[in-house]
Amino acid sequence: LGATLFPDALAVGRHEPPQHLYTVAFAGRDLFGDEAEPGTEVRIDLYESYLVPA
Amino acid sequence: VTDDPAVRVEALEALLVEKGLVDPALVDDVIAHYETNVGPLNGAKVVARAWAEPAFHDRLLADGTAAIAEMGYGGAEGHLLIAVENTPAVHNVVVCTLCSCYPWPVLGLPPRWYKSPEYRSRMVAQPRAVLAEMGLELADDVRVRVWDSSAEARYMVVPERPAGTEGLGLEELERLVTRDAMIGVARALAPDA
Repeated sequence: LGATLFPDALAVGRHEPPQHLYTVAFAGRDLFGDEAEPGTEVRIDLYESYLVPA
Repeated sequence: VTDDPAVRVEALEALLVEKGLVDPALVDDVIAHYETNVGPLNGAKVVARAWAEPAFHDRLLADGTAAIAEMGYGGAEGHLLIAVENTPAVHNVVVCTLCSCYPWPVLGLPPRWYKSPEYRSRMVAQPRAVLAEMGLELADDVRVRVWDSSAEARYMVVPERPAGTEGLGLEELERLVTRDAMIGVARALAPDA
């Protein structure tokens, strides 16, 4: 989604360089295991610093 | 000390006014603006046009912010607007698990239930069950895609165009597009509803 201001820093008045924001899709099963409903997916917007290489 | 939020907000506003930090007339203007000028009717106009005009439909899905700005909507709580489209195979629904991020310029202020801890936690874990409780039954072969809004991007759902609406004009189409349909917890209304 491009470069964005990082709200975690903005909210406490800290100046930081903008971060890239990505939409990441997770299968329901990967998040909730056997309790997940079939055929469901959650798309979450995550800032670059939230992500680590898989 | 009271737990009633309305009383606490009144007290907070009175204090801010007393200290000269806010102008009460300005507060009233902002409330009136969102009550009369900004609301789900804006989003309904966007959806109706997308149904009726294929070129606008494509622009809306490619760059929601720009296409919605063409219609004069945007600004606060809507600097990055993303439209996602329901199809017979995929149903989209929007939640903000952290708080209550919502596309104000096209949908107005969020409904109370959108901010509830129950909706925010359960919609990601059990979307089919929550949608069914809200009156929307989805077939097992329809994929459910839950969009969790961040502070940055605000999502709106373009519902499926109901059958039997081929001959309708824009204003008639707008009346079929409800706020709940654009959050993704309902379908667009049938033309004779």
